[in-house]
Amino acid sequence: MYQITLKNKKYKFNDLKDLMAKATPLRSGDVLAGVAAESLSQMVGAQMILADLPLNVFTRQFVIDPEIDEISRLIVKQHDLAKFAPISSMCISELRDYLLSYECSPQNLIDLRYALTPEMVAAVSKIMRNQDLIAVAAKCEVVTKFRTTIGLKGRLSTRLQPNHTTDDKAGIAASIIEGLLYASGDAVIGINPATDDINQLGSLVSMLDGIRQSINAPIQSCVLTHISNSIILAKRNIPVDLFFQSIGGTEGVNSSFGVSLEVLQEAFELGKELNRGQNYMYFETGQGSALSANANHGVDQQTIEARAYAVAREYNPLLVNTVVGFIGPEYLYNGKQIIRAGLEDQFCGKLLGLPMGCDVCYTNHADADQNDMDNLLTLLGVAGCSFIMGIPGSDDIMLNYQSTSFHDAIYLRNLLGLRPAPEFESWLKQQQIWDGKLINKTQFAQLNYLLQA
Amino acid sequence: MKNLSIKEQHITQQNDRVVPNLNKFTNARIAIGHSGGHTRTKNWLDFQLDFAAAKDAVYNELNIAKLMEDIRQTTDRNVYQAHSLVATLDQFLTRPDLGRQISNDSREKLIQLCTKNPEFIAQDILIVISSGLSSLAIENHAVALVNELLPLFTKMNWSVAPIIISKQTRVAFADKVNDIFKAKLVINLIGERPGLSSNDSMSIYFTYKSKINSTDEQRNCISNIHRNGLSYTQAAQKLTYLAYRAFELGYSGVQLKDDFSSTALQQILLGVDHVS
Repeated sequence: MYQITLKNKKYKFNDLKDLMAKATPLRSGDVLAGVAAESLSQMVGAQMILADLPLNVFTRQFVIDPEIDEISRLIVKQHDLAKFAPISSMCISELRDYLLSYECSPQNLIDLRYALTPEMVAAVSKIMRNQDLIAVAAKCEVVTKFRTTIGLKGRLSTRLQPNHTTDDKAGIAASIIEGLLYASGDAVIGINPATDDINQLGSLVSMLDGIRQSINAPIQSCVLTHISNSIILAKRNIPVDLFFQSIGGTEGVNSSFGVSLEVLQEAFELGKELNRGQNYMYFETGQGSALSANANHGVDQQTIEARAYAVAREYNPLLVNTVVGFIGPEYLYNGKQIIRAGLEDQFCGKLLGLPMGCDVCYTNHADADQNDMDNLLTLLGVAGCSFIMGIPGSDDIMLNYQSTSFHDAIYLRNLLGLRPAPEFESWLKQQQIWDGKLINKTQFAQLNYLLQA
Repeated sequence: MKNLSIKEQHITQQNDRVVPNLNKFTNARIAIGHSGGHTRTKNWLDFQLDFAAAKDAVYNELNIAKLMEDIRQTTDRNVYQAHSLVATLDQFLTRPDLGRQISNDSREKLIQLCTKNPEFIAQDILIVISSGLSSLAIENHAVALVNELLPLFTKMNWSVAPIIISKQTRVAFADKVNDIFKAKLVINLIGERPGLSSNDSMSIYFTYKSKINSTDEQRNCISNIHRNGLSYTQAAQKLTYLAYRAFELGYSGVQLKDDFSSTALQQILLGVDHVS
């Protein structure tokens, strides 16, 4: 039990998870779950108590009991007690002040990764303003590599997302050509397939690999199907580059996705056997998925999201993408809530050591529009986001939602002087597509070949 | 470039990267050129128009009176309303739990109705029509689809309960209505989340022997019913076929495989008299 009296009013909180939920900036998903603060004053009261909490409280109190949840057990296992010792008596407010201080260098942030647990990181984010989240995220350096290197300072990569309503290959290829002409695709070329059919999935994987080889580009591809499908395909020697899976921060939500740590481990081991290098996993997350699967244990959605990052970092992913506005207004109601969540995820993910990207997006029943996305896109660019989506004209015709376009990435790169991944940048120069800005009248050498194929 | 006027330079840049015929392969927004690193004005405003249409579909309120009148005029069916616990559009969007519950008032009225008309109870089919996230989908397609469905149901000798209309309800709401009517199969026509390419797409969900706590695994869905998607005839035939299979197998949901073909349905229709 925690309590505080402010302006002659007493506020009580049952336990750590109640305190964390009530300290969370308002969002519809926590209201729906019945865990949100009932007033702004109550929220500030919770934030004040949270600010004074020593970090070592989080090693004794759990928001979800490790006995009933394998993600809680994973979090305990990952926690590096030797690295934690020097900061264990620090309280959450001191952690915030430290993260923001000049003394805290990018290398210090790297050293902190496993000294901190997701709950500690979520807790500190709850007492940080948007500018705090941006400033610290921008200081974090997380670099991963497959055929391209993602996350270097001054770089911004994109996932080219060429989805098609019926997985029509010519349709997908047309969107890929368009994207490459706009210097998109250095994080991954990733299709959300309409089909579940294993042979069709295999044929999409092979098509993507064929395109890569025919244009001789340093890119990687992914068909975002259930990880068990990718395991089957890889075992059939189909050229799977990245193993994809949607994940969440409780055992229950992962189970609703049809995965467990054991299944993820199997893919991870398989990738190792196939000599895929250090980083070959691709995860997607998003606040609200646990509640939607009735697996939130009364924990607020942002804390659960941070817990999902413990799952992700166990497998050294190449890419982690928070699909922030896809879930709908019952979890993130409007542009303001989507923007806040996008920045929280960027901060928490980066601090925990993940190559965070963001699907800056919304659905048509949320109170958001392209202007809100421009705001979040620009803020994430400043915050050093590793990658964003590139979707033809912002409109995903298969998933029926709006995200960022090929053009949006160009806007951000030009505005902030950000460059594509170095390997891809050289290829783009060679192809006369990009030299710091779009090259007019590009002569994309292999275009005709691609169009015929 | 030096010799070109500003206007000519501008046109050159607008047409840059517009690969001839590339957009014949997909409806995605490709081959749209650029201005600097940005979209051209025309494409931006086209996008805004489609976005506005999608938003309008969410905010447009279903005209229940007109829908009831249209159904009465085109079919011989009784039509009634039922409401969820949702009071406002905002609540509908943020509280899916309330949209799944039937209001006490509606429940009482329907129970009274069924007490007076016991023949409404325990029929083969109950149709519930709900605006969902696109009332336009219902206004544009529901009556036409019902008029394709009813003759097929008659051919199958299936009895049909009165048609129920609701707005601002979720799919599980239909199960709550069927808790009163106790039809073998409850069918929910509902407006889908609008996208930029279609703002009036309708889905059909159906559940065999629904219970008030039926989950998504027990439901099947036929989606994408709109002008450029599945036609009313195709949707009605597919639903009739799958309903027949559900009656035959005694279940619906993930285990009910979609192996529909119009030939299979024709064969069923030819030997139809023993069905159900």
